[in-house]
Amino acid sequence: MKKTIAWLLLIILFSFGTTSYAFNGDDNTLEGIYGDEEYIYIATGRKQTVSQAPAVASIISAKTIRQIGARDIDEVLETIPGLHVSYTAGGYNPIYQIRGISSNVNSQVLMLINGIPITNIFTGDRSQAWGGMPVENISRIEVIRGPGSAIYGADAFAGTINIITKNSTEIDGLEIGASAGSFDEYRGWLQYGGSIAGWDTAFSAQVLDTHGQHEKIENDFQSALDANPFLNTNASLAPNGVTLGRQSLDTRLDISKDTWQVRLGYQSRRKGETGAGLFQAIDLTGEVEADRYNADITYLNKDSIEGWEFKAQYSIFNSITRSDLVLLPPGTNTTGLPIHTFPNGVLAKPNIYERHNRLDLSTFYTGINNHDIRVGTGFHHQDQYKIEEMKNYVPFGAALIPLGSLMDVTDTAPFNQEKTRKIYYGFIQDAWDFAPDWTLTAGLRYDHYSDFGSTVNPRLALVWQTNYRLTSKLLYGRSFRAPSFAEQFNINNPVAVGNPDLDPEVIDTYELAFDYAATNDLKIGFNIFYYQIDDIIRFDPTTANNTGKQTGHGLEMEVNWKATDKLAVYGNYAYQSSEDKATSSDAADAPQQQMYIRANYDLSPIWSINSQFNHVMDRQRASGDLRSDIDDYSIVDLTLRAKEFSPGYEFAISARNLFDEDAREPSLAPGAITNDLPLAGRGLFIELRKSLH
Amino acid sequence: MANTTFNVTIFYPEARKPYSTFFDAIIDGIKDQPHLNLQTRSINKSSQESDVLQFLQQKNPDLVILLGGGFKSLQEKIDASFKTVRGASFLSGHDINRGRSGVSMSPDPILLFAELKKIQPTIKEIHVVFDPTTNGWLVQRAIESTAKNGITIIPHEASNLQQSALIYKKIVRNSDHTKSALWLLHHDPTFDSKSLLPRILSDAWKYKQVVISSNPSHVRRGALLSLLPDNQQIGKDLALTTIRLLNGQKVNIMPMQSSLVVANLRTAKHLSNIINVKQKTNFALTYPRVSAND
Repeated sequence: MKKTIAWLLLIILFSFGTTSYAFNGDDNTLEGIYGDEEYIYIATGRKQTVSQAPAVASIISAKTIRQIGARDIDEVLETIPGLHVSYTAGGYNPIYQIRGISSNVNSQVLMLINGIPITNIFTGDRSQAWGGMPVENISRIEVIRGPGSAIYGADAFAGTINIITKNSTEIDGLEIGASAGSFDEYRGWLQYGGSIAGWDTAFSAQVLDTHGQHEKIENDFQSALDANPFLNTNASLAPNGVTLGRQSLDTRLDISKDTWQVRLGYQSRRKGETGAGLFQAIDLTGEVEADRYNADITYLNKDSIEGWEFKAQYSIFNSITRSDLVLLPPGTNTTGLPIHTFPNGVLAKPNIYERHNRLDLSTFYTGINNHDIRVGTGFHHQDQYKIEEMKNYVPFGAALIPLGSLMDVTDTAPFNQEKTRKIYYGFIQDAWDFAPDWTLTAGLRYDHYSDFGSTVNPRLALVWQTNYRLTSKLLYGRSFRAPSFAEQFNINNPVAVGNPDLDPEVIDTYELAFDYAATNDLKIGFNIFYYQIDDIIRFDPTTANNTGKQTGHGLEMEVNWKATDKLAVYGNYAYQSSEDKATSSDAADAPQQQMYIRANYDLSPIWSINSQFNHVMDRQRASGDLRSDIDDYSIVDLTLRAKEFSPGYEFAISARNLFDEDAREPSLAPGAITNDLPLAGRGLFIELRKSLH
Repeated sequence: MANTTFNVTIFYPEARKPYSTFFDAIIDGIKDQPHLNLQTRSINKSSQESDVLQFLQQKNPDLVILLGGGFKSLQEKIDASFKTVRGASFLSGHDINRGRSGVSMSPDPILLFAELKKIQPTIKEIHVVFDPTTNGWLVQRAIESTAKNGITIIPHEASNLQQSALIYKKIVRNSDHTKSALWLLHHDPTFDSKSLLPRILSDAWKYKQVVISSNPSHVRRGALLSLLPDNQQIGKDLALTTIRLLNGQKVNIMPMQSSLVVANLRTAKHLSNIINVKQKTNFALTYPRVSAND
């Protein structure tokens, strides 16, 4: 009945207004022909990826990244529902908190570039000298909240962030651009997309030089030492601004021809300042630097045998991180004995060298009716091949005893060990259409680690196409996080001793998700989730052990509305409540609620304006941290953009944190940095780019 | 005759990537034809008609290939002085009436139906609602070609949206869905993507009506399948049309030839296993994609 009325209304509407729906010649534009840019890439030979297991996922395209005026990937990730980017004191390295799962080294999130992990084995994150990632060469970012180990293996735990870089069809010949703005930040980039000697070639080089924001920290860890009358020090550099200067270079080359693809990358990080200090004590002179190399060669054959798709990939990733740190400032003393004073501060120069070799083989078989079967196997070799350290102290209990000068302790008392790990794995996944509108995807991955043994991680997804507009999904998955070498092999560190007998952390996640297309221009996503983490690795009290347990539940909702041809609105809301079972208290630090809204409005064919609002709420303290809960904050960004104001030129001006909100991210409990870690105040950036065909 | 080389000028609109790659590929396809001595020239909004015409008078080509649907007045002026072939635009009965030649962006219904047959061999009849003056030629081609394949085209002429909405409603609700399909046209004044399409597709879902379309963007919204442009092939067909015309043959407008299938797997599943899964990996593009938030 309802449908009949709808038809009737439509017919009446047409009888009055046929002319307004008349054929119009504008459809002859290229968008009219294709309807969607996506078709162009296909028609020009872009490779299509095989569908993955159903999951709660978000994709952000290059178009959105540019519209919101993002300069670094963290600004993009913050817009994902259920994902909040917090920061550590040391270097302000990002903590991608997903659904309330947070840790200072953030090893619970797997980050991939073109499907290949960039995890550093030392702490299981992106290294102390991560230094951000510029966005010009990003084609899209796919974020899966929830488990991914059945496909990706280790560390696809709280979530997986896969960054896809641009191929030759996505770069407009030669593109150059530059931006400059607050905090003495300068960026420049050069990209090329085209064909060289029959190879589709994409090249990108991006440089950055910034002094970084300089918001003030009122007191730090040394302030607490200074407050102890028995130590008799007055060494703290607080109050002082955080130091976040750095220089970086990101280069990538991607060439492909027929079934072959070769990618090479090099990223350099120099003069990376230490934020609020690795020991939460302001360090005005310390620096970290990194050199990272990656290469892969991929063979993808979709055509040779009907019903089969075959992929083989060999990849290497080499990461070198060098640090020159002042852990505690000149004049510090941790015993109170005058001979234990450090006139030059507590100094450390740890260097970590590691390399990864991976071989991955997978095949996709569609030869059985109603089944899509994916099978794969592979080998991964992790090699922490060199550890170097110089320092001017030896730890004695919780105290630090001066050595008089910087000494090379590489062979006598280094912080970690030269170790390797071998991983073999195999997986199978079947998507089975067992009834009309119903699909059950079942996957299982087996990983064998040379150190801790085997782990098996299943994935189940039941998808029901409820009606034309609604899809419902019930999902279960188990994932694991492998212990890092810091957790396994730390030595000569009295407060964080490694334990070679660690087991991986395990998470079981249950999700119920709905995708609803209310109209072609209004799409709504909603999900609820529950998870349980066991065997959380903690230095408890000083040696790493599988002692933690955490549960959490929550919901996420997103609305995408193309209000008119000119106005697009997107918003999301996320709620989570997570409990640390050891203390029966909130898991702390991550926001329990988060709301994000953005609107993009085309003022004219040339000018567009984009505004985004991010509200971070309800971040609780850890058990034993007596500080009051950290304040909520709201940040508004505004970007004005002019496309093709002159042939090939584009200009943008962007205000970040427009209202200069005092936004802070939690410092480590119990609060050595009492007033938490300040984020950047208002910043203004301009950008100019030019395409040369 | 076979060794004669003709001078041909190609005009194409200046476009940014990725759209520019579309014209690059078409021109590449034209270049495959050895008997054409080609010159290319892009035009944009600031191009002066007089400059373009002067350029043509100087070069005096045997034929001009006009890519893209814009710059209509310029195209007509070129028509007046030169032989022309049109491509990368939608060509209609109006163009045929004016004696124009070229390759339309509408995919060849013969190829579209062949792909449908692979997925659903039980289809015996295909309904189409159309404006005869715009798409009569395409429907006629479909009728002539399908007779021998055991498919009957059931044409429904309409002159406005009100008429067509009534017809669509009747087709989706009353036809025998095990053996009938509905074919949507790309550019037709009796069709509207904003209001009519969602109504057709949601009813089609309810009644399990197979819907195929000449417009690939309809697949994203729930139509079962369509064909994407094969730009190289378009170029080759433009070159062939050009050669024939210059050899004095009569050449009509032809529809786009392509085997690049775009399919909606969600719709396919809903239509109860009609899809042969082996085909999935051969599809150029499938929907739905991972849910996007932009």
